[in-house]
Amino acid sequence: MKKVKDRALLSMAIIVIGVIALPQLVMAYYSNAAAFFKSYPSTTTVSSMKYWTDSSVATYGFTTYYSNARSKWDAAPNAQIGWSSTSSYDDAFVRFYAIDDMPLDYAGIAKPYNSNGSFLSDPDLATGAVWHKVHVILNKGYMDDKGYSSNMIQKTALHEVGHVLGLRHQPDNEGPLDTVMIQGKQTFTDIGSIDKTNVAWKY
Amino acid sequence: MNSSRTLSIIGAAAVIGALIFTQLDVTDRNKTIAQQISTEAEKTIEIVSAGDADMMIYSTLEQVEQDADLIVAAELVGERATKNMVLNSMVIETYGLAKVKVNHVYKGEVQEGDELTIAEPGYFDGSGKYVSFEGYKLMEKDGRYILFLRTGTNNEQIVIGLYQGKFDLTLPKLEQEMTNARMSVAEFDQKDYVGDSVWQFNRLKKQVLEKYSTVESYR
Repeated sequence: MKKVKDRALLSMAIIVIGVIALPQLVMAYYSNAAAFFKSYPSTTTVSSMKYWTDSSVATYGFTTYYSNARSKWDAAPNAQIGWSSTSSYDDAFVRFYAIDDMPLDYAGIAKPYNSNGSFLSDPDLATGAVWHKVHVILNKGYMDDKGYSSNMIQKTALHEVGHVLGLRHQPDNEGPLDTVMIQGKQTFTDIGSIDKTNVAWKY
Repeated sequence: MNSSRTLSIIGAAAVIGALIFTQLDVTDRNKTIAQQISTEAEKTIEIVSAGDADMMIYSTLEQVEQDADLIVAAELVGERATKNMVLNSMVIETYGLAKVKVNHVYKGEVQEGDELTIAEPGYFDGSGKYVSFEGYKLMEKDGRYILFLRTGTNNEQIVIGLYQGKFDLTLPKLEQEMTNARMSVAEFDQKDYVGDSVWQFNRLKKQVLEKYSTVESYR
């Protein structure tokens, strides 16, 4: 009788531990410092980012997607993120572009540069680099080829602007996560709860 | 008698001298070669990121195959080049160009022996740094590649999913996590991928090795 009771208790304990721990294991994602590159823009820079928009953005119909992406990150609670438009290419910290016939298979990309105009050492691996400028490009040709819906294009814009803030990719082997920083063809019209928590921690 | 002895001594000395000189020369040459090999081994390559991209992440090989217009076994031939994408007079992107010879066709309208121009998402910049898009490692002369491609403008072939459409069959070992953006040339040569999404690359490479490690692919 005691053995049966012990087994029942043990089974209960395993179930309880499983219920509590399993979602944590399955839903592992990067938070706080781990969510950011080892080099990133300064807090001062992020609080008032000047941006310049190339005419290609309007030509390919991406003006609203970029505008929404900036607004959504700007509205992240408890984070000092600010934007101001500039007509000066040289003054801008972020430059927004769009292209149609890029022979590289990406929907969007964010490209941080140092003050020499060179690429940084892999920011996932190297520390200490100073982000001088960031170029963001949306690739219309790729998104047309892959049948991106408007909400998928919006997610791509949100994702690339997330990189501008120094956020790195969230793990792609962890199933569905509430973050725009996961790679892939997904539908998002706003940043996710994980994104909000991470930028609040940093900025 | 004395003169012939003197001549013999001079002759012997000359032979011994020549032997010593030759031996020293060989030793010096060996030293030089050893130094060159050691310098090569010590040479390092810095990997820089061309940016962080968002694109489709393929969980199965079938998805990659569906998105590809061409699936070929190929090897690198000819010289490499880089090409700039210019927008409103500004260079906004640079990528590599590589010529490959098709050794076997698994899908698409090309023939064995055809040469294709591949737009490679990786290249060496003017200062010798390797610029990579999402960890793509450029093709090498000794490699035998399975390529998943779609045709872009100017007849340049686009590698599907950046690093998700090129696999070197001569490097069957799966990739390890990288901890440093700098590595020796020897290490670099032994890599098929140089990025952070090792889990994703290995997931696809395992499937490629299972399906495409055939005699035809190695020709």
